[in-house]
Amino acid sequence: MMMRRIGSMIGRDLKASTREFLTVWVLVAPFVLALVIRGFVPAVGGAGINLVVTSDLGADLTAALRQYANVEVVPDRAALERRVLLVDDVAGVVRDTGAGGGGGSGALLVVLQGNEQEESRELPGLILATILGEEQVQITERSLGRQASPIRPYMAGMLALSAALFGGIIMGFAIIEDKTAGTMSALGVSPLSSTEYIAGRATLGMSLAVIMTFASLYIMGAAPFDPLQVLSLTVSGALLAVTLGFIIGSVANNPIEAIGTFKFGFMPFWIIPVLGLVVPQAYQFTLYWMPTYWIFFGYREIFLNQAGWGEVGPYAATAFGVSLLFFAVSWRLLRRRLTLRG
Amino acid sequence: MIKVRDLYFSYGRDKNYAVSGVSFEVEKGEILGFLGPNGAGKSTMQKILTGLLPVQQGEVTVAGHDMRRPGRDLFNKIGVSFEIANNYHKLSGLENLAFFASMYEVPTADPMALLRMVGLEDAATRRAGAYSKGMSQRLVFARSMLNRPTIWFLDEPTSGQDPAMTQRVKEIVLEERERGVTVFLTTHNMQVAEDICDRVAFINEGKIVDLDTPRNLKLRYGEQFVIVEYRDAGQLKKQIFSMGADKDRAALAALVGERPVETIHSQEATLEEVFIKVTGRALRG
Amino acid sequence: MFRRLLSLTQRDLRLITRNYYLAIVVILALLYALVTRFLIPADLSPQPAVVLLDSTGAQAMRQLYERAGGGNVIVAGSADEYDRHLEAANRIGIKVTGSVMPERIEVTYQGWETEKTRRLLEASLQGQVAALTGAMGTAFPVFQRTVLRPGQVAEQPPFNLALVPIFIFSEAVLMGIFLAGALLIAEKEDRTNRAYQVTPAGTAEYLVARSLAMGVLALVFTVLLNLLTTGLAGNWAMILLLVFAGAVVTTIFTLIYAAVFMNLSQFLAGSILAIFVLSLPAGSYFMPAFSPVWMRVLPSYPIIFGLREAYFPSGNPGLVTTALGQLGITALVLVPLAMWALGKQLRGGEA
Repeated sequence: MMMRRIGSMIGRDLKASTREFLTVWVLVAPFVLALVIRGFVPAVGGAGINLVVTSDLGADLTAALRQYANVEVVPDRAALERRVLLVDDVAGVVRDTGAGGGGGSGALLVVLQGNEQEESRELPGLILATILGEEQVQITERSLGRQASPIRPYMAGMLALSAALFGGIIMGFAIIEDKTAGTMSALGVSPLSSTEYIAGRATLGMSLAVIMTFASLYIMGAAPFDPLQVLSLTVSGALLAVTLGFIIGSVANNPIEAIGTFKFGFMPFWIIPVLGLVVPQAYQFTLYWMPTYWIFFGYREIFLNQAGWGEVGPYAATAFGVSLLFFAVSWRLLRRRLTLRG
Repeated sequence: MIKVRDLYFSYGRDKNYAVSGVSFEVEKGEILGFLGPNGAGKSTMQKILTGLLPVQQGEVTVAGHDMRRPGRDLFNKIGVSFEIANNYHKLSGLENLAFFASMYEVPTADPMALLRMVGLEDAATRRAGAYSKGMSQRLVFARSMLNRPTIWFLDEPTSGQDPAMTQRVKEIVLEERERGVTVFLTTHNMQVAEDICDRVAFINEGKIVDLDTPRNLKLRYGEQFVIVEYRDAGQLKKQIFSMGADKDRAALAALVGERPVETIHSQEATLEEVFIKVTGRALRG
Repeated sequence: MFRRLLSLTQRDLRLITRNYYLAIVVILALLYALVTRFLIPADLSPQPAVVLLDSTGAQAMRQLYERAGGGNVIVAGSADEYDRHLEAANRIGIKVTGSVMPERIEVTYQGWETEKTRRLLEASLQGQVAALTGAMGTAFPVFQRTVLRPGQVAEQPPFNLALVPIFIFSEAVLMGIFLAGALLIAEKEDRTNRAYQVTPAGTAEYLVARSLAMGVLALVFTVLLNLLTTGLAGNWAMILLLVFAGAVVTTIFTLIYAAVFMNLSQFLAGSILAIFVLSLPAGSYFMPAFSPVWMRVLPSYPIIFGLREAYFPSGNPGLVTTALGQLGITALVLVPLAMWALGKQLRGGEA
């Protein structure tokens, strides 16, 4: 009986969601995110230096430069200087034709803005010398055969966390809509118990979180990975997201409060893992309280090193423990505030 | 003040009309009751008249404004009291009124005076979110008077009110009518309509089925009865006679001549009975 | 008109305060300040990225790298050690051989590096060897450089303070993304938008008032975080102007899709996506050479760099004006859209 009621709550949510084109969007949003990341990762990996050249530089030299840098071609020196002065780091390469008032030696000249990072200052000259000068040393290449970009594990970790968060949010906001639309009271006069209500909502939130995590990881192209390892962390992520969803649902009574609560919960959810990357070792312990720290670095192990259970296991266990603690602490608040009747 | 001619409206912009071929006029200083069951088209009609829905087909003029292009000035002249209370929960009653007062370009009423008028003076500084249903409704009612409207749209103004407050609301509406305010009252409370409306329109399935003064409607459709109490062999007896039937009239005359009559009451049909007779539908259907 | 505007702004600020949002903004500013001052290091020491094994007689390469003293180089003493250090992710190996001076270099890549990255490293190695062998300027030519704005060498701010413009961007400039829409959704849900519709007040006033309120809230966050982190440094007038203008434009943007999306969840999903996309240029902030065209056209790109210039002036105030100009253009595009979307929402009823 209880299972049937929980089941029909979930069914109602799914029906309500799919009957509206725009709600489907909520479910699709994380996948759009995954696609954006998929496009973003190689772009970062390809970040080198940017050059801008005038069209009279010659096709051969321009083609040679393209092997080293992103090259834009502009018609004249004035356009080149305008481009160099734009906000990003771009160095110019021109033939000196005396535009600066000098004699115009015809020699190649590197045009800089002055605030470039060191690579953009030094490398253009070295590239030209390598192309035009003599080989100084014989260089051979060897590859370790690691195809994944170094930022991919971090992006994958962040994506997995956010996708889980979506599941929690959808659930939290469904609760608020129950409150504002008055359907909470309608459920209150049905035999549904508060516990069943919470269980129904949680089941939906958890499943959504897990499904969304996996789907967005595959869309992003994070595969291959061990699904069981990922699941071991996703369970904690989903539990945490659902907890956050319940906190939002029980604390907030209207959309504005909901967004405020969400913004509050949102900050540690994202910031703590990022801080984990920059905070010195000695202070890392200040971040241990937040489950996302353990989940994120657990994901990093999986996606970075194709780690074994020996590495992932401790993260998964700690993450689950801390998430459970989070849930337990929140539970008291939830049971008191989130009741269908009085 | 309000002119409607051959108005049609369909939510799906198809032949499924929520309002179908409606025409009527409301004179200055008149209270027109728009009566009908749920889903009859009352709310759609009021939304069109207040500019919340566009005029799709037909002509609508409100206070001289063609409702196809009403212009913002219209809203300085009309007041709207909504059926479902819509106040800012986090603002107090007084703040709600003060905020909306500042939206108008015409002199506005003193918010506190309005609150006093509807019995909310003690709750003026409390947040509207903490008001009871009836209080919220009264706040909405008071809000609709802020700009001293010349045309006043009232949607179920007495819903959720106790009898004393219902009486007060009716008095306020009548006072405003004395000042020359035109009132468009949407309701399914027949008693309120009967008490204050100069004319009532019966609306059903998007059409006006009749429009007249309550008295004329009752005379036209309602049967009049006479209830007579008399003594028969020491026992008190009661008999009902229809004034529309010749046989009953003769019987009544005979009774009055033969028996000791104690009371005679004429019994008019209620507006509700008339409505059911006209539309074949009950009001709260 | 003006009274109405004032009243609408006051209403928004009241609703914000009574929904504890002001408190949330203040606490968030304090949290960010704490994190910036005490958790994020001022100096972000780079992780070792290059492993060097120099087995030439003169050990010139090793000396060069040791002199350069970069924290990102590990000098290996033996081939074993070299291989071991290369095991860690994200490292590049440079094995130099030759009798006295470098004659051959074997570069070991991870495998994900692009062709361009590999060629760049090759060019820089050629340059290093040329410098060591004295070929610089002869067989390995040197090219003249001309610097257009010589005074414009930005002082590198400490790493933790360098993050402040990013925090300001994500919390203050993007403030409206959540809140402005939430206010609109709340109005839909408690039907107060209906009450507004039957007053003579219009869409434009609503839009301006909401934007002003968000701007004020953004300034509160900015002033607090600034005082607690960068203090009086930077060009305050420019910072506040940029934050205010930025918050106004993001509010207009948010109101467009908040009017289109029907409920809170949809709106929130849209917001998260918007925040994510608009935040991508933060990547360029740390790697100015990473500036693909699609990123430069994002309206947030010039704002982030304008903020950097306002906080850490490099003598190029044009960056701030560019950012303000871009905001102006964005507003020109968005305002008619917002008027249309809000007009539909505020005037059109439910049909």
